[in-house]
Amino acid sequence: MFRYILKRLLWLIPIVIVVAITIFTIMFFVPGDPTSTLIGTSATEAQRQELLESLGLTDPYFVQLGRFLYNLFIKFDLGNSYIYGSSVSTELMNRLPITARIAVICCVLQAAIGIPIGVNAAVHQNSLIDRITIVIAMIGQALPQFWVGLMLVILFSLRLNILPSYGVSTWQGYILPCTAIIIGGFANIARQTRSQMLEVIRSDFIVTARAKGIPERTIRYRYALPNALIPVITGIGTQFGRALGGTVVIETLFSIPGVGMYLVDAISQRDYPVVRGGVVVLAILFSLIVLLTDISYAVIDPRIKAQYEGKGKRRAKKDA
Amino acid sequence: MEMKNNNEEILHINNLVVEYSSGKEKVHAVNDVSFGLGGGETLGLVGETGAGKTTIAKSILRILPDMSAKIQSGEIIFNGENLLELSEHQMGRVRGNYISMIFQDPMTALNPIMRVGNQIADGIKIHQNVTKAEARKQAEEMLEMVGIPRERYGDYPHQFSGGMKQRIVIAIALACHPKLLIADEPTSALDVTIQAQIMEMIKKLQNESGTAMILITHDLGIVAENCDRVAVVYAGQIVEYGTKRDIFKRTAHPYTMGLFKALPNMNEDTERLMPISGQPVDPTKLPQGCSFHPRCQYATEKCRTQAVPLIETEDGHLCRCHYCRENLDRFHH
Amino acid sequence: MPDKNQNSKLDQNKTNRHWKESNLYFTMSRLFHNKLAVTGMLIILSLIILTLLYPVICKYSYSLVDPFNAYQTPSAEHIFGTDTLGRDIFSRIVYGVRYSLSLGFVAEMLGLAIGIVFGCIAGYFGGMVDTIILRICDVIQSIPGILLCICISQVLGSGFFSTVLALCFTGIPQVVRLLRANILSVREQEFVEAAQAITCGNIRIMFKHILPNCIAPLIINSSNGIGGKIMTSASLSFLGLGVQEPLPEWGAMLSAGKNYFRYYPHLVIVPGIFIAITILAFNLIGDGLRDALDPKLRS
Repeated sequence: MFRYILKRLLWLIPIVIVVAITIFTIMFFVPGDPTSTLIGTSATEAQRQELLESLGLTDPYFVQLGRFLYNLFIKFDLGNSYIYGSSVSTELMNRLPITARIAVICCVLQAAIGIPIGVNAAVHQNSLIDRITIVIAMIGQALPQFWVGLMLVILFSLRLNILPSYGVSTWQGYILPCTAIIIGGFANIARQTRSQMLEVIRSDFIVTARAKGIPERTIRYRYALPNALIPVITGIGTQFGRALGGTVVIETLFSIPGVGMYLVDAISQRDYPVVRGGVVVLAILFSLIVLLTDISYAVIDPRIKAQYEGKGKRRAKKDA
Repeated sequence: MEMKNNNEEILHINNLVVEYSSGKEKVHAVNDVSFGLGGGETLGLVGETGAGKTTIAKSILRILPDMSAKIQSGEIIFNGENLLELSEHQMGRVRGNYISMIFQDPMTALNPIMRVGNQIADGIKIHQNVTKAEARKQAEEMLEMVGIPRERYGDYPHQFSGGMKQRIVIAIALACHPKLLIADEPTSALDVTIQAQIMEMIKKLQNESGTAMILITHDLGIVAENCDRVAVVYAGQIVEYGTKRDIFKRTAHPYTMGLFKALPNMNEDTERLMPISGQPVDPTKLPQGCSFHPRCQYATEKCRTQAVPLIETEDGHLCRCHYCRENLDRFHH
Repeated sequence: MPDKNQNSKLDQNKTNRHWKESNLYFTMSRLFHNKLAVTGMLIILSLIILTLLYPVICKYSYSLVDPFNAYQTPSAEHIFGTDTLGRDIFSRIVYGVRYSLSLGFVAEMLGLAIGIVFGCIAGYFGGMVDTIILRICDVIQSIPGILLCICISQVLGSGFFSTVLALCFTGIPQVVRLLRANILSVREQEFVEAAQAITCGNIRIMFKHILPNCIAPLIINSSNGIGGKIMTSASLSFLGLGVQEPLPEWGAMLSAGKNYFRYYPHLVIVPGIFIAITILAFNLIGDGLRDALDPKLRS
């Protein structure tokens, strides 16, 4: 198990390097440059050239790429923002907690709401409550996050005036953005849980458990649910990733000073160091979450654990 | 109808009717099945796939899928109580405790993410009201009894081979020393070399504990070796019922005869086997009259129109054929 | 000659019977018995009919600017009101169906096509090629989708087709992985061995035997993917990227209205509802397809 994790962590290194190269290349080909934001459009061409040169943006592609990779992977330096002059890594460290907090809150609540609802629907398959759940989940999944956000703002901030429509200086500020993300996410998890439960509850081992005289409740929660949750965990992992990415839009909508808004602003201002640094950090985070989901698989499912630990041991035991 | 048993009866099924509904179609899985079983006795339920054998078994435990299957009528008397009238809670105390079941496919019958020992101990804990440690101890003993070292208590199902898994399923079924064991094709998913081993073990454990058994199979060899009585099931009905001797030596129903003719016989020098012609009946559209008549070489006009009751051919030997007495002469000249 | 004729007639009978027993027929009949899926298809169909009937049912041109009637709330004259420039929102919604639907559809199909090519290559060749393609997928998937879309659409600009390109990118790895995994599992099955045993060519085996057996999950994935693409494109528009005004694409309309939503909420409510309904319809169809194609239910 430990070796498996180590192997996956080592794989992360080439992936991050390629991500860095990819994002560098994409941003290299983005038309425009940061000068218009820095010195305005009224500056002369000569001033512009001078500025570009001082930023090193007139160097050829490979020189710039090499410098970026050298700074990133040898000196662990993400550079400074062109626009604000501040260190990108410091800025990210300040903003990451806000984004992460939103993503974690959303993830936990999505699972906490979605799983019981999905289980309940599956247990009462084809009943009224099941149908209502399906319809709500389908609709929840079809609503764009930012649009839900807008509607929430219209209702709770503008009409009822009980919740702030921007910023996260108080805890109330988190309510609307998180709700906007959760509505789609919980629907997704509820539907997955439901269909997985339905599948598992038809399996033979559930019949075995019934024949043993295990009470129906115990069967549901101790036999069926853990088996059904294995695929749902991927769903939760993906949701977390999506929440991280989804905050890009939500943070912009609610003016939340997180990583997402930082990046979106940086992209439009051509603030290359911020974009590259932010994307690389998000990619690392994202890959770590995927790894974490894979590990939690192994915790629940001994078959997968055996796979991670290598087939040799498993065979040996089987033959014994 | 009367079915006689020497020992005191522990199970008696009266006129059981079970239907499945899938969409608009109704599947007549079990049609008016009655039989009895004495304590310690073994009854073989024999028939083709889809004849309704497993449905009968699952009806006894009331573990049919409640979405689609429905027990329409009938009684299942176990120890003087009608199981069909018990509440779900009371039934829970019967399942696994007084009546338990061995399933056909050991590959899927075990919870893949639960330690096998715990799967055995689970039932013990619920039914015998013992501590965790005591349940564990008993479960370990059960493991040893089915020939698995107790060190493997904490292993998961995927670490066992098919035959080993079936041993665990058997251990689960016998954990609470039930009065009735239902074995649903316990060996058909296993390698031929292991089949005899497993069957022998079931038989041994059954004899030791004095458990009665319903053995569902399509393998007449297993029936011959293990059963006291045999019920041949066709299209959800018992078409022939009697002692092993009745069925094997005094066969009265053309379907049963067909089953024997489809077997290779080592003693006789048969050139070719005689398969039963045609397909099993479609249980959504049971034919009029005798349900076997479309495949029966002796069928007459009477068979096509008149339903057949179970007729007592000889003492305790029942047969659902208009011509069962003639058949006796015809088959055993 | 007559012989041949008879043969073809026989063949025809055979095809007819085969059609009745074919998987496609089975799937379709299941799909059309699924109320939710039929609802989804009806929604998409009525949207298409609506946009085709645009010249008939819309009194105002979608591009007709009328500054004196700007920001009107819904009324009998303008059932969805008018936008910042006084254009009739109903006309823009109806005309915009073609953009929103085709945006999602084309982006998904393009991604599917590219994904199938790479998925086949990875699944067929295996080894080093497979590893490289998978790692590239890893890289693409480790960048949050919407960020990648933003960056790419910055490179490509904000037109319709550049948005399609930007959108299709993020879906490719999913298709590649799905197809590759399916090819690998189907390749192990016995009918492929049987085909090899009668010396079918590799290409023939790939396209005649393996690929058709891998299509079902891709169809389901795409149907849900179209909804996802429409949603992402709306998010892009919302951030001021992707398709922009004056095209009457719903996301762009929403984006144009977002600065005024505090005072004129109908500017964002109406396009948002249409986006949601369309995504819902595609998801319903996707679910129906999954149920219809699920071999586990086939008994």
